[in-house]
Amino acid sequence: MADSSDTRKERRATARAERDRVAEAAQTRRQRLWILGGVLALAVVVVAVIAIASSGGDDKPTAKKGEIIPGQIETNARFAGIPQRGITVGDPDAPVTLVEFADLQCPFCRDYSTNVMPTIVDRYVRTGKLKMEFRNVSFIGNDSLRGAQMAAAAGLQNKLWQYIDLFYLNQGEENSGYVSDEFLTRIGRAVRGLDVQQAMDDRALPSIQRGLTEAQTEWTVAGFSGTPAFLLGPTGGRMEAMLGEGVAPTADNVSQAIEAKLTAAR
Amino acid sequence: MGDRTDRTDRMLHRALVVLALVGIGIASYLTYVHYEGLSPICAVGHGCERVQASRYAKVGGVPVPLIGLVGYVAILISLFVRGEVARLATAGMAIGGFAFSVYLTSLELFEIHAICQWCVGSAIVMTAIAVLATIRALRIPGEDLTEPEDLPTPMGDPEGEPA
Repeated sequence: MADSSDTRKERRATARAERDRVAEAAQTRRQRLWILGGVLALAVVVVAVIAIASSGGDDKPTAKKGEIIPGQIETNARFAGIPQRGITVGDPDAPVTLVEFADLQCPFCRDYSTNVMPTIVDRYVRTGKLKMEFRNVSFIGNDSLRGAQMAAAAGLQNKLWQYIDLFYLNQGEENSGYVSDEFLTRIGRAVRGLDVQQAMDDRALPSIQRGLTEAQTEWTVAGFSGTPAFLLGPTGGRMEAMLGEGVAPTADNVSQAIEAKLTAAR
Repeated sequence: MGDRTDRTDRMLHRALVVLALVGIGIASYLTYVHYEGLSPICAVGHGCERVQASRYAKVGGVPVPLIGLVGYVAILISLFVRGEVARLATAGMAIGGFAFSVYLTSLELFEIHAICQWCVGSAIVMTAIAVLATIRALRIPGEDLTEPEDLPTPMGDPEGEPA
C-alpha cells in the first residue's frame, strides 16, 4: 500500500515538475518571440526611414535661372566654338577618332555623357586631338527611336551633340512614352541656334532613317550587343573596340585609350 | 535525452551555414561588379544593369550589395558562437535582412520597374535564413523530454537508492 501511494505521489510530483517545465519553456519561448517581434518592428521602422529619406531626394538636375531645362547653359558652353558637322564634333583633321554607339534611353550612355564625355571634350576635342562621332542605335524602344530621329534632325543643323547632351540630362523613365513632341521641342528650344520647327519637320526625311539604319548595322557588324560601345582609332585608319564589353567607361580609362592612339599616330 | 532536438538543431545549423555562404557568394559577386564598374551577368534584358544604375543602388552612399555582404558575414559569424544570445542574434539579424529585402524587392517592382535575378536570389536566401533562424531561436533545449521514452521511471527514484 505504502509503496503504491509513494508511486502515486512520485507520479504526481513528476507530472507537476513536467507541467512547470512546460510552462517555463512556454514562458521562455514567449519572451524570445517578443524579442524577435521587437527586432522586426525596429527593422520595419529603419527601412521606413530609409525609404522616406531616399524618396525625398531626387537626383534629377534642376533648371537654373534663365534655363528652359536643366543643363542648358553648361551644354551650350561646352560645345561653343568647336566645329560640328552632322554626327561629328571636333576638328575634321584631328589625328584620332572616337565613335560612340549609344541609345538615348540607356542609363549607362547617360552616365557616360554626363560624367565622362565633358572631360574628354575639354582634354582632347577642344584641343584638336580628337573628333567624336555619335552613332545612334535605338534598340530599347519607341522612345529611343523618336529621340534618335530628332537628334539626327538636329545634326542636319550641326547641333546634334548639344541635343543629345541635353536629352541625356533630362532622360525620363524607360519606355514610359515620355519622348513626346512636347519633350523633343522643349529640349530643342534649349539648344542655342537650333531651328526647332525645322528639325521637327526634318525628322521624316529618308536620309534620317537611312543614317539610323546604317548606325544600327555598323553596331551589329562591329560585334556589339550593348551600349554604350566605342570604336577608337587613327582618323581614316583601322578602328578597334575600346574597352571590353561590360567595362564602364571612365574619364581615366577613356583618356588612357586615347593617349595610346595619339602616341601611335605621332 | 534530447537526441532528436540535437539532430534537428544540427540540421538547422548546417542549413543556415550553407544559406549564409550562398548569400555571401551572391553579395560578393554584386559588390565586385559594383566596384569594378562591370554589368552583372543577367538573363533578363538589362534588368540588373538598371537596378544597379538606379539611384536606389546605394543607401547613404554605401552600395547595397556591400550592406548585404556585411549582413551575411555577421550572420555566418553568429552561427559559430555558442549560446542563446547568439541564436537570438542570428534570428534578429536575419529578420532585419528580411525586412530590408522586402523593401529592395518592392523598389525593383514598383519604382525601378526592372528585376535583377541576383537580388531576388539574395532575397529568397535571406527569407529562408530568417525562417530557419527563427525556428532555431524559439526551440527550447530539452523540450522533447515530454516524449514517453524520456520520462524518468520509478526505478530511477532517488529514494530507492541506498543513502
